[in-house]
Amino acid sequence: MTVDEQDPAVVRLRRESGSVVVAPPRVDTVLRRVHERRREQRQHRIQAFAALSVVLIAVAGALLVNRDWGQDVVTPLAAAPIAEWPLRGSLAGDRDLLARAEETWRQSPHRPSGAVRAVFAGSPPYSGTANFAVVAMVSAEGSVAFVTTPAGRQIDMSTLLLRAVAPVEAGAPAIGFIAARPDPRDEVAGIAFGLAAPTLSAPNLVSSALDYSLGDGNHHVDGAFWAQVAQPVAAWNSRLDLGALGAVDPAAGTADPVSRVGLRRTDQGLVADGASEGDLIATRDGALGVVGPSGVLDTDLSALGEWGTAVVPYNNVVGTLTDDGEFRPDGIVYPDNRVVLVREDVTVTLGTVAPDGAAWRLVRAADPAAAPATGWRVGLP
Amino acid sequence: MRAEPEFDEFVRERYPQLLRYAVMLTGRQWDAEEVVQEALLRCLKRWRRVPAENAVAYVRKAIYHEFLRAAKKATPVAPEEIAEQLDLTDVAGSVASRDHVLLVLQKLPPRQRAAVVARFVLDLSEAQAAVELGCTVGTVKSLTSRGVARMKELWAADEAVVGGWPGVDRESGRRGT
Repeated sequence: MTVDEQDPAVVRLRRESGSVVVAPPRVDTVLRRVHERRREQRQHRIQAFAALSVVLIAVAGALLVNRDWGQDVVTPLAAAPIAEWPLRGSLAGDRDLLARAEETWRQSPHRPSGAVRAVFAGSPPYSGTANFAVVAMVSAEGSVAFVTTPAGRQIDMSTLLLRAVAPVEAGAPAIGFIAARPDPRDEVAGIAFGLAAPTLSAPNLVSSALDYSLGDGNHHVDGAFWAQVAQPVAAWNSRLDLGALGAVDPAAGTADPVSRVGLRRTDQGLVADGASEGDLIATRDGALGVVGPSGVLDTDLSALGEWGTAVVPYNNVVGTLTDDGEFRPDGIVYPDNRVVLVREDVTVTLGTVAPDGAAWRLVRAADPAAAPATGWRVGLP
Repeated sequence: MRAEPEFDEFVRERYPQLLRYAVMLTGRQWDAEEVVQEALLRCLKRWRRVPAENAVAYVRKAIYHEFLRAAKKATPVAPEEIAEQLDLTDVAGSVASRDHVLLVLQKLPPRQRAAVVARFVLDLSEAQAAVELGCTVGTVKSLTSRGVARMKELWAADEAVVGGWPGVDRESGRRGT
């Protein structure tokens, strides 16, 4: 049945549709994105073709040389040394951007002393909330820095911000950062970026403060991902997961209240080098303890309970921590509920609850007796 | 044969119009921008084969297909998001009722919505709409008929509240002065 053109609903539809106001983004930005993505698609096709050719040649070679099909051959994967990483990303050809990014790093309090080389320059393939261009650089002395544009709906290439600087191991399978505290020019709460070594898939962002991987839904291209993050996700409770190749800690944002510290065991107990009395020391898995007057970590639960508030984020039930390993909730909790320590805008994982008769025992996520060689120092006033 | 510079020229000239079409379909500018970008990317790959005289219709068709793809996983659009996209000075009465056409359109199934927009927002004939939506004229008639009927139902409560549609003579359906 044909609808009458004079039908009141049609008239109203026509009239009100005229009131829809659309503020189009700059067409140049749209065109740049479309062409960038077209180029990336072409490159991916070429790379896929090249990879397929290599595989076919390798398989053909293997068939010719080795006809013993009964044996499985496992090739161990290994990441290329970071010094050999090529410059990747959709903005790799933007020399002005690379020069300004290096200058931004050199003008900062975290400036490198030696030569600097960019290993990534790009923006996400799709516009979205995690929308920022990023330049990742490594220095000769072994640190990595991330310089980005402000994060927002439109990428403003005129403004560059140093987001994070951290030491990097030569054989690291990935690099990345989480800036939990935004810059005033950001339109989002926090941002994250990760980049895998060449030929590896982009790392997954996993936080011990959450029950799920943050990898899904992020922008992935060329082994990189961009993500918007919000509390409780931060560098000190997260890792860049690469499956069989392990995981690496992301760098923390320059505005975040944390720094990396070395941990060592002494006769008196665990000591965090460079930390001050009252600092919380944690690993990405969870809280270890609080630095006492002598510099030794007090790893008792009561010390952690004094540093921050113990909360079950599942239902926001607050509880008290006791030195005999109990969590005494002021409400209903359930087995395996996660308990976190919260102070200001910092959330650190503590562990999970397990029933112990009529009480709840806290199963700590990070065992102070098995602390790694480095950890996070959370210094809040 | 058409080259990429022509594509850029086309986008510069037509982008606001295409984005507005996508906003009418998705109800949310962010989603609309994604949909248009995806559609433009697909069109760019085939741009040399796109006839110049039909370029707008071709891109709109791509937008429609991207919209259908995106609609499968789209989240409902909140009234506040709709209000952000309206010229409040023009349609104060309609906005106050919170049943503006943009919000009501979001309550139609995607194909009905697209048919209604094609016919009464883009002002395409039934035959033109059928070509753009990739269906028969009969299907366009059916989709628009059901879509308009559903919109009437949704507006019925609104009519009772505001005492009729501002500026529309309810007997004739014609706009007043």
